[in-house]
Parts: sequence; structure tokens; C-alpha cells
Amino acid sequence: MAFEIPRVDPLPFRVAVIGGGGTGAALAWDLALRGFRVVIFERGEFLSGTTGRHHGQLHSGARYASGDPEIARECMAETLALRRLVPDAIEYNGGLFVALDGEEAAYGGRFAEACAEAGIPAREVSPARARELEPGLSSRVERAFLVPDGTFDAWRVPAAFLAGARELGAELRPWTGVVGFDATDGRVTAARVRDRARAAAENRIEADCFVIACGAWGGTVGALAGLEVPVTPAAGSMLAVKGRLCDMVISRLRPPGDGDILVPQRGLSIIGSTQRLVESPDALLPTDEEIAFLRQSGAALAPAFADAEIDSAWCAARPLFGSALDEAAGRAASRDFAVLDHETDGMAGIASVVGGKATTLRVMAEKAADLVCRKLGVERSCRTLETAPPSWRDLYRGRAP
Amino acid sequence: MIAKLSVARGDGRVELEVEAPEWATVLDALEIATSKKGTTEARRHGGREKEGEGQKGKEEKGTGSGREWNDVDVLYRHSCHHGSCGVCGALVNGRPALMCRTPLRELPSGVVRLDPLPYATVIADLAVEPGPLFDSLPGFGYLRPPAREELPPVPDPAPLPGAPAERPRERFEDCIECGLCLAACPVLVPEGAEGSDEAPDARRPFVGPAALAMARRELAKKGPLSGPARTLAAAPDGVAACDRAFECSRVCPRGVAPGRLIEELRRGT
Repeated sequence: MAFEIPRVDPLPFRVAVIGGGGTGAALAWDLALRGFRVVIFERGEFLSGTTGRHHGQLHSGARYASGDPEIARECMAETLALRRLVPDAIEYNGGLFVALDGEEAAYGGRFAEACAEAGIPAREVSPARARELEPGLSSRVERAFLVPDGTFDAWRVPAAFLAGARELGAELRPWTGVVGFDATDGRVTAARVRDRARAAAENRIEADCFVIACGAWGGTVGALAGLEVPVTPAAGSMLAVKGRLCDMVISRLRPPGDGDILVPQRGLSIIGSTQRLVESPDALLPTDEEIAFLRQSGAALAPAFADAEIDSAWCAARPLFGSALDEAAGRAASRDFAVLDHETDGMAGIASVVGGKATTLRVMAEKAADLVCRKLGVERSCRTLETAPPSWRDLYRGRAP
Repeated sequence: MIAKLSVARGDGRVELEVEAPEWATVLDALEIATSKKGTTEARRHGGREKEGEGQKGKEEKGTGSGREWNDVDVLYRHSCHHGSCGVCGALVNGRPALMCRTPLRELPSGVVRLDPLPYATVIADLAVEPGPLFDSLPGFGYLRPPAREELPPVPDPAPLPGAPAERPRERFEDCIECGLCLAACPVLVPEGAEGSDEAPDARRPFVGPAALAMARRELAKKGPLSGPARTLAAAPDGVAACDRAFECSRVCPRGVAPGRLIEELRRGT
């Protein structure tokens, strides 16, 4: 490709990113742009965990404005950034928050104020105008607000970041699981990895810094280094029907809950989601009850959802920030993220990114890369806000195993 | 229901048996069967009583793989689980399909045979390196109008600098770049090439149905302005190399109908 990424002087440090989901992809890209030597491990194919299964809502932050203004502000900034950086992987048609009863209509005042405080330009429109914009919308709409939401392709956005990392020389290691860490004198010096495609033998990979970016699997991987990474996995189910019932993302005008977002994507309409704590984030499936609930929830927003042919039902492992949360604490858990330096736990050379959500993958990577710089005494600032990655199509171009 | 999967591994096969919900897809079953924790899920959905009964795998020694295995460890590509990413293609009972869009109940009862897509080099088991697909694709834009009835433009409450406050509606192209059309194409994968570990040599150079379908879509969007699309279609490995087998249209999981689009290019429409 003719695409050229502006480069900086290479740094004499190697950073190992563990986890090839959205966060790891954005982190590999960020670190490579700063000049680090990067290796990224993923136990399966890239994006086979949580990010790819996301329903694709690009959050303006309106959903979180009244409960968590900081996340709302962050989502707004990241929505604008991703729209500039990867426009071809975003269906940007805006969003509507709609009230379907008096209680939801009454919530509108608080919603509008909270959006204004968080810097989200929500704008009230009449129910008639809302239905003119989206004729598939329920006739019960009592109140409606326009917000700058959108749909992004949850595979193509992070795949573009991986393609960029690859272009900058990062070593991409899919099918490679971390099975242990070697530590000397309170410092992680190497990861032991197993290449599932080639050999049963373990390899030892040395690096100057390791970052666990394993989302809902962070606890499992952290335990390999004797660390407690505060993540609780929760299953979130989604249901897609055939047919595009709207172009804008339609949300219920109420505090965030289950089954309250209808996301259009290509020829599908997707309703999300649910939340249920799980012991293991592996191989999750929706329950029959969740599917029935989601079907009703979709129909409440767009009546045609009730009889549309089901296209697919699936489940993603959400990484809630916090150790061993119970159901109530899980519901209350912030969707914020944190970057943890495990030197404070007595283990140098390793850090974790926990929590977060797909919309904020770029800024999660930025904060994690800032920590890596501090740990290694490097002064290099983030370049991902001003550098567009290449196309996702470049991730696999010209490659043979 | 009990799903029985027979998965290619080098010269041998791995047989898997797993309890899965009635509505489960091939991908769901494969994911449960290859996950240690999947037994819990399988039991929960299937009402099994004993720990570990949900999963049963036995290894047959393949001579070609050279790997050793502790667990049932099967390599397969997957991501979105709803037919959006285009990653989980495989031969399902010999036919190119996305595993996430193939419900078990729509297949004949008995063992489901899974093999890697034949257009690309096999990494291991079902996982292929999709380089040949992406090498073939032009760099055309991925957005198009939604093609719904005449709807007003959408207001943009947060326009980027220089952008208008109202914008035409947009959506992604239907093509999810999954490569099934390449795997089904008799020009790219001549008969007898299936099951080979090596990417087969094409009978003659052919850019493939995915790229030509994209060229037709590009012309639809940009009209005669799209020189690159015309060049791609008119090249010796373009439209002229297509044998009109229409297998691409039959296997396309998103109704793109590459065969028809290639015919439109041929007729200049």
C-alpha cells in the first residue's frame, strides 16, 4: 500500500502486550507509534474474545451522562476521535434517546442537563420529528433527544490498529497463549508462551515491560504472575434480527439497564444487552430467557422487531472493573477503566489495563502506554490522536504462515 | 441436542461431541466443545447432570500435523458471532459457510464435517491465513447509502470541523470480506484441490469474485469517475477470467451475489 505512517526514532525497549482484543490492538499501535519494539500475544485469532462480539454502538456518552459524567465526557471525545481516524469503519447516523412512558419522559430533564454538563450536544426534537427521521420507531414515543451516537464495526476498527502496528514492525503472535511468567528479584523478566499452531513446546519471551490487556480474562492471566487483577467477567447477550429497522442508534430515555439499545448494522438490527456474572468468560451463550427478553425489548423500541426473522443470538464477556463483584455490585460497577502498575503489588515490569468499553479502546491504550513510558523512563507522547491507521485490509495482506 | 463435529487436523481428524442448545450454530458448538469451561454451559443449557459429560473429545493421530496435544485444542478463526466480521468461514459438510451463520438444526442429522477453506494456506486445523483474500481486494470505500425508502438526512449534533449539520445516511457495504466466494470459485479452487494443505495454483490468474463485486459496487457509487474499478474489471485477470459458475452467489452469506455483479460488469451495466 502507498500508505505511509510518520515514524519516530526507535527506542531500545521491547514491550509485550498480552491480549489481542480491542485494547491490546490499540495499545500495540500506540506503543509502536511511540517507537517501542512491540510483540502482541493472543491465544486465539485476534479479536476472538469480547471486542469483536460488541453490538457496535459508538457511544457519544449520553448513556452514561447522568450516572458517570467522566466516562460520558471520555466517550464523547473518543467518538469524535474515532470518526476522524477510522471513518470507513463507522456508520455515523447519530442516535435518538426516546421516552416510551411518562416516567421516561420525566427523566428527560435530568438527561439533558447531564449531557450538557458532560459536553454532549443532545438536542430535544418532537416525537413527530423523531418518527419522521425513523419511521420504524414506536408510536408510543413521548419525548426524544438527538445525540451523536453511531455504529462501528467492532472487528474492523481494532483490526485497523493491528494493521498499523504490523506496518510499524510490531510482531503479531496470534494462536499464542501465555502459560506463565518468569520473575527474578520481584521483577517479571519473561513470559512463557505456547504457540498452539506449531509446537507443544513453550517459548520464553523476554521483554522490558509486560502489559496484561486481557479484558475479562485479566484475572486468569494475572494469576500466572501471582497478581490479583481486579476484573469480574459478566455475560452480555445480544440478539440480531434480519432487516434494518433504523439508521440511527435508538436508546431508551432512562438510566442504563438491560435491553435498552437498538443498533443498526448493515442489514441487521441488534438489540443489546443483558448482564449476568459468570465464573469463566469462556464459551458464553445467551439463555433462552435472555433471548425472549431481548426480543420484547427490541419490539418496544421498534414494533417490527417482534416478527422479524432472528438472524443471530450471541453473548460477550464484559470485563467489569473490581474483584469478585456480586450481582448488585456488578450492576453498579462503573464502565470506567484503570491502568494498574503492579510494582505497587511488589512486582515490577508488569502492568494491567482493566475494565473499559469498546468505544474507549484508544484512550485506554493511551493511558496504558503512558504508564509504560513512566515505568521505563521514556518521554514520548501519544500519537494516536493525529495518526490515522491503515485499512483493516492491510492486516493480512501479503502474509503467509 | 447433541452435536457431533468432525474437524480436520492435518491428515487426520478430531471427533467432538457436545451438548448444545437447539438453536446453536456450528460455531457455538465448536466453541463449547473446545472450551474446558464449556462443559458447565453445555450442562446448564442441556440439563446434564454430571460434570464433564458435556464434552467428549478423542484424538486421532494425524501424520501431517507434528503437534502434541494435552486437551481438545482446535484452532479456528472467529470474532463477531453474528455474520459481521467475516472471519469464521470453513467448509461445513464440504460447502463454504460461516460457522456462525449455520444453525445445527439446518444441517442433516449426524456428524458435521468441518474443513478449512481451500483458497488459503492452512495454519492448523480450521484456521487459514486469509492473505490471498485481502491481497485481492481493492482499497475502495466501505460506506454506501442505506437504500431504504426516501428518508430525510440525519441531523448531526456534533459535526466534525468543516462537516455539515445534516448528512446523508450511510451504512457499510454488505460484503463482509469473508472469502467464501473465493473458496467456492471453480477458477480459483479447481476440483480436487480441496483438502490440500497448500494454497492451490489457480488454473489461470483471476482476481476473484470479492474484488470484482467491490468494483461493481464502486462503479454504482461513483459512476464513470471510478477509473480504478474499470481497470480492475477490464484486466485479463478480471471479468474475462470468470467462468460464470455462480458458486460465489450461492455461498455468499450476505446476499451480495458477486456472480450477478460480475455479469453486470461484463455487460457494462
